[in-house]
Amino acid sequence: MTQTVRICSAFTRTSFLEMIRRKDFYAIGILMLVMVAGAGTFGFFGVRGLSVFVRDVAFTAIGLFSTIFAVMASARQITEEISRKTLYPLLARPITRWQLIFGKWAAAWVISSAAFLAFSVIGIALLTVFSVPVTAIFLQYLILKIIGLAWLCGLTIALSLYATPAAAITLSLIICFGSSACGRIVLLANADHPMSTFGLNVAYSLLPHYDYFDLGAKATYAWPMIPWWVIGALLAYSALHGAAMLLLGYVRFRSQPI
Amino acid sequence: MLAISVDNLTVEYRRAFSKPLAAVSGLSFSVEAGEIVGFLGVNGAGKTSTIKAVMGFTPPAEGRVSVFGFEAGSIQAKRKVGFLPETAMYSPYLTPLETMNLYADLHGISGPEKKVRIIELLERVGICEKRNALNKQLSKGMLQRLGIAQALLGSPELLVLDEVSSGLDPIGRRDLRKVLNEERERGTTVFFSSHNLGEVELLCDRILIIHKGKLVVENKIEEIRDSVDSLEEYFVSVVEGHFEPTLERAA
Repeated sequence: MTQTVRICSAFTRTSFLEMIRRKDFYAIGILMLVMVAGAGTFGFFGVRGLSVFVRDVAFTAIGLFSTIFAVMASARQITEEISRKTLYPLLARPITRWQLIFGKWAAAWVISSAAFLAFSVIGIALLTVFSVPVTAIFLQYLILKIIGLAWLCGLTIALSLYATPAAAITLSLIICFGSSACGRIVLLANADHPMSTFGLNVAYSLLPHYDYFDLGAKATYAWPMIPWWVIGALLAYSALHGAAMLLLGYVRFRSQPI
Repeated sequence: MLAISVDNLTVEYRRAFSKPLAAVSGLSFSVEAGEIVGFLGVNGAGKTSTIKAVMGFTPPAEGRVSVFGFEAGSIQAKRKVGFLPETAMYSPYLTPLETMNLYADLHGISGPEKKVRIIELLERVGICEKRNALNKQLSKGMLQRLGIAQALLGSPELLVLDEVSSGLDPIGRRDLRKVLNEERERGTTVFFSSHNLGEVELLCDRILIIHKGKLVVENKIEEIRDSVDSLEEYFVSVVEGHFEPTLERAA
């Protein structure tokens, strides 16, 4: 246990150093800043009642960019070590392949959460500048998103062990955004065709759901806080589903020649 | 005591819709503890595949590989081995010091001993002055020196080095010889592959030559010196003598 914690902490520290030295983190942050600032400046031209609009842009940008960042950071955790041939000296250490996958997942989760919190701080700072209020549900938005990022990092790392990094990124993003689209299709499905509605419901329940972890819309419209047991249930969903994803990755990686 | 024991090793690479490709077949050899053994062969002979099997990176299709009596790739075996891969590009966003810290943490080296050991090794391989520069600012030779330093981190009883002198200039090769000779005095077993036969001649007690995935020569360096002028001459004659389609090549 102590050894696994030490491995996670070693990978997290180096991943964090890499994150702050890479340009993509700053590029994404600047893009988000421009989007939210752009939406907020409408107020300077005399347009009133923009609170909901600016919050919508801010939460959409924070959610979108932190998801993209998490997927990119997770997809390169192991594949980059393979392409740089540095996976060999890592696996030559007295650690197991499972510990390597778990350590890389922990690193991806921590840096993705750090990036998400940094983007959120930028977003909240801008909302404060534009005098747009944020309600208490924002706290639950932060917590749930961090729980969702754990699941997302697990999914992307598992996919990166089966596919190329580019394919893993594409598939992860399709699953992230496609699962919520599937939910909307189910709602819109014609009730006169029970078989197709049934099929869509089955597909919806089988699909992994990143949209469960997004309280962006509720935060935008300043809903009251959701019950804490829902967060607890989603924490269990993320832990079980994320662990299943990592195990799926391990099944592939444990005896894979490298 | 045997540091490495390879018994009837076959390494195969699976390919979609075709037969597996055998990189090594029926290979058997052993390395005694304390020996320095050079592992030679032309490109594609099966050196790296054998080394990967010794490290446990590639599971054998047949046969058995053990390191100090432990199964290759097991945690017990890994505790005793230091490994240098062929031309690894260490993270360009980390410094040599941070890279060494990562490997030390994974090896379980901690406390004040860690810092002392890392600085000592970086000094030994001659890149201590560059310890805070990013890896992307280092030359290929310096990255190779960093690779040697990380291989020595856990004070290994066995060093497995793949293309050890790759990217090193003459000064780097001299420094490498010094480090390996110091390791020999410490009693470390060294098993390395190299295309630099002069290097091999200066360092090794014994050589193994692999060709088309099979062991063709296992000989002491002194005996080779008695029979031919240079190891290069010996190597070329051995390898060319084992080329089956000689006429085809000439054509």
